[in-house]
Amino acid sequence: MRLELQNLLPEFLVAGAGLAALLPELLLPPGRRAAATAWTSFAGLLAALLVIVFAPPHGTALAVGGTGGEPHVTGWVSDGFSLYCRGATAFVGLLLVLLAMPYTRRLDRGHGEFYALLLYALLGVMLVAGVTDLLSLFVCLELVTIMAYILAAYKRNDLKSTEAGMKYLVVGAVSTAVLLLGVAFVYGATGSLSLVALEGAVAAGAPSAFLVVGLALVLIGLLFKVGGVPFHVWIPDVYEGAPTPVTGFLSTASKAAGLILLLRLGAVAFAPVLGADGLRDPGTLSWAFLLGVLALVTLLFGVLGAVPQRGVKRMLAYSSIGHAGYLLMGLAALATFAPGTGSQEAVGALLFYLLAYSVTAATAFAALVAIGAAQRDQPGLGVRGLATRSPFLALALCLALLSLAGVPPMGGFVAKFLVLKAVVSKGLWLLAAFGAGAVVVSLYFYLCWVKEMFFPGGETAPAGVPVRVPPLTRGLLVLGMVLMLGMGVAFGPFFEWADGAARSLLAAR
Amino acid sequence: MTQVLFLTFGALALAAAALCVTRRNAVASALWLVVMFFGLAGCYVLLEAYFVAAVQVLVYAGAIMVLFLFVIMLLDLRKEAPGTAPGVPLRFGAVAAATLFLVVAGLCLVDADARGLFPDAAAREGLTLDGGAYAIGEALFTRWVLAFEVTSILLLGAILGAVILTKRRLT
Repeated sequence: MRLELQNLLPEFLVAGAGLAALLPELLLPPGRRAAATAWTSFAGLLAALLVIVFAPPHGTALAVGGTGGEPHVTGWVSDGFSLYCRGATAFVGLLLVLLAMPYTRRLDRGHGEFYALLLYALLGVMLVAGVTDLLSLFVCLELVTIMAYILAAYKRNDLKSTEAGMKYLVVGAVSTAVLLLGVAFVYGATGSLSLVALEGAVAAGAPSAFLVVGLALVLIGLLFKVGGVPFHVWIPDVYEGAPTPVTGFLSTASKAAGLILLLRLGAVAFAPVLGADGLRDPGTLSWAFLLGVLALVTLLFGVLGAVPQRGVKRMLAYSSIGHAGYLLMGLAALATFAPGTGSQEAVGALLFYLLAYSVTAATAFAALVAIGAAQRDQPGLGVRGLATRSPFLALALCLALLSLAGVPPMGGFVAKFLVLKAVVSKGLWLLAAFGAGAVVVSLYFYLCWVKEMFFPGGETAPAGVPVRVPPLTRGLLVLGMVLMLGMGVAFGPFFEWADGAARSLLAAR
Repeated sequence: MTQVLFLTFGALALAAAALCVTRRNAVASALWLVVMFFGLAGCYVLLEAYFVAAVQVLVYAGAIMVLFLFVIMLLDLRKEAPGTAPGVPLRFGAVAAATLFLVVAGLCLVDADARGLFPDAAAREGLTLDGGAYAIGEALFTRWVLAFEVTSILLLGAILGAVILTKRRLT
């Protein structure tokens, strides 16, 4: 066995910061704990991001066998795909740490623990990006979800937060059981936990019922994490009840963990196989059809469900279901059999989408945290007439909503365009048409919220006191806006990075 | 002989599991769960996974069950749950779960029959099975060392969470 821990350096940095974030709670007076732990976490994530960008480790972190007829097995791999996902996770993690600061400052207890749990969850997402076997997949994903249960219930004296944590725990436990059952079935069918063995079993054609049932169950387990219909029921309540920074985590990094695994698994199990005689289709049509139908239903549910919502967080929850629909659409394109480089295009589009959506959602939630921190005395006010109270916050939230809707100069537009283009290049016209139609409907409800902020109208136009935005949040929001616009206007470098990651994921075939 | 023992333990585990989920009394449910754990431990022994069987009895039937019973008694759930009729979503869920179970079980039986996934004794002759503590320890600290370390972080986070969510005063 060969252990090359330098390939795990970013993860070690994050884990180390997670341990160090507990120290201020022991050593410092209560007033200075929140800032100290936040900056410790920030430093750890920043160091991890710098390592990934400037000294990207390539290779396997753990290699077993390769001698004596035993197949060469890799336990964890740091390739282009995992580097992209880990870099994006570390970056989104930085945004999350910054946006959580106004929130944790108001906590009367458990500042260090909040950041430590957040860092462990982010560590799980980063580890998930490199898994090459089903057991590591399960353990790393559990690291993400179990931390998320705790974070969702973090406001222990708040009834809604407790409810969110409880609901998430129960639904999540069921999904975990289903996922594990699927892993057991796949293991029974292939005799190995390695994804390479799984790929071999799928490529051999005529998969056994064991294997199909196992893969379907694993797919269900992962759909829970992504929030695809019909496994979405937990999303609105949990997103609404959880503390706002945690909702930000759930809709960005936690969702990303599910998608990263769906891509890893999809590349070996659902995608068409490259045989000796070129591309051939080992019965993947059914996966494409299944994923396509799920994408369609998810999209419809998310978009139509968001229309009647009266709370911003709940609306964003439904919007996140809608975005899961687009992600599933890209997966359906990946699973569709068609000649050409469409698969790589689909994966690249999904990776770009993930980053654009995460940055946008983080910006939106950062604005919500700032609003929530400023109007604790007027909790019912929400974003109504926000433009008169804080034009800056209103601008940031407005841009984020436009990016979520997919309006041209924003990153969200390019992301949606790329996914739809990949779907069309695979010949899934109906799916693409629905995707484009959903953009129009979603534009309606996003713009309703923009109107609510700028022209509240009616005789009950709220006066309210001006919202004071702390300088740190101001910087974070500026960064978010620049990135959203940058990914929309100068998307070249981002897209090339995502495309390279996609090539690395599909290189094995 | 092995076949007979396997069927006995398997049937015991299945029956106990069914009784566990159908009892209304929480303590009775928990005790049937213990029986299920023992049935499963018997199956593990027959699979020559002696270490797992021992751990099953020690950890699950021992420690975890004590915790279950402790919580049940602490919450005073001895009284039967009020007999409310299950609502529509619950009925729907039950039907869906039962359908899923039947489909999966049926597919597996058909498939196993066709492909011979229940090998007879002769087919297992060449296999060397080692279910001892040494083999498990070696696998755990070589092949699965990464998963093992991730689990340790998971447990640390879980401890933190338990403290945060249950402790009344942290200062």
